[in-house]
Amino acid sequence: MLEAARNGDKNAFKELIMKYEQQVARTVIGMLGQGPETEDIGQETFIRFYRALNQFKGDSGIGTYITRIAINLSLNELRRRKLKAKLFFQAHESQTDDQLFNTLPDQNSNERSEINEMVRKGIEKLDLKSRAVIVLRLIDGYSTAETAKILELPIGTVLSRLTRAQKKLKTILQPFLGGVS
Amino acid sequence: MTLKHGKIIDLLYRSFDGILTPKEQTELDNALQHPGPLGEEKQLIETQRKAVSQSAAGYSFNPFFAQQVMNRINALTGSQSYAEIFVDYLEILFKRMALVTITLCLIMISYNILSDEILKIIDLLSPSPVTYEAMLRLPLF
Repeated sequence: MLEAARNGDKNAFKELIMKYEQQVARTVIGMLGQGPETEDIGQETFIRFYRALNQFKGDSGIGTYITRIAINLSLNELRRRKLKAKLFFQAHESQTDDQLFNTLPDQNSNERSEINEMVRKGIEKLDLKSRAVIVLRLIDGYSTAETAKILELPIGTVLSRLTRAQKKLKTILQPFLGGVS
Repeated sequence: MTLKHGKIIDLLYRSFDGILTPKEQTELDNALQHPGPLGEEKQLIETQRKAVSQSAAGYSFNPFFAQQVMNRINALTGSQSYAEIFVDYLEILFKRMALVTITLCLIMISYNILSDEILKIIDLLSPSPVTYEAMLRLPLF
């Protein structure tokens, strides 16, 4: 399929998109949350991959390569948002845990989606570096070594970021996960 | 929290993601043998990791995502004329409208089956007829 796409077969490339779009969706939405920009970033990921088809040597898997593009674009988008928030004095990053818990949906709503929502908000509170390792390792299911390769970091750094991120998530999520198995 | 306890907690976290040395593994296993907060901590980490991984279950792009990317690529590479792009756009629009229409029809059929009142599309789309007498009864101001 990859060779056919390289040779200009558009249908083959479309098949590649369909094969990896779910994976890219998990990465991008995991990083950015649901929103209008996520589809754009997802599309841009595949457009960049299309442009780089001839440079892709295949030393890493296609999925890993596409995920690296998706992560880098998501990080750029998050930096852009942060800058925009700073410019407009929005306190998005400094949202306190109390404010976070005040947004907890009422207890009659579906428990699973309630937890998912809290997890998403918890992940949004992580710094960019920690967020990337959590998304790649726990949401995308990459191994620690693959996560390190995608982020171009030593494994030790990935491990310490994972530990730090999980400890922070724990302080946010413990009240909600205490009774969930 | 003592220094040793902090180290054991770090080992516990690392045990999920990295390979511990035999010495570290033994140290962790020994600590976990005693029932107490460390066992609870382990359970909490497992629950949290499961919750994070399950939170992405519904993450997906719209159903026309692949076609939209191809349209953008075709537009960028100039391999598709504006007429073709327009036709693709119409196709997506038609599919969306068809999806909405089918959903509406299903809702209406279900409503008709479940209730005594018969609902027709024409009733939904057209205003109710106004009689001459009814118009005369309307207040002027």
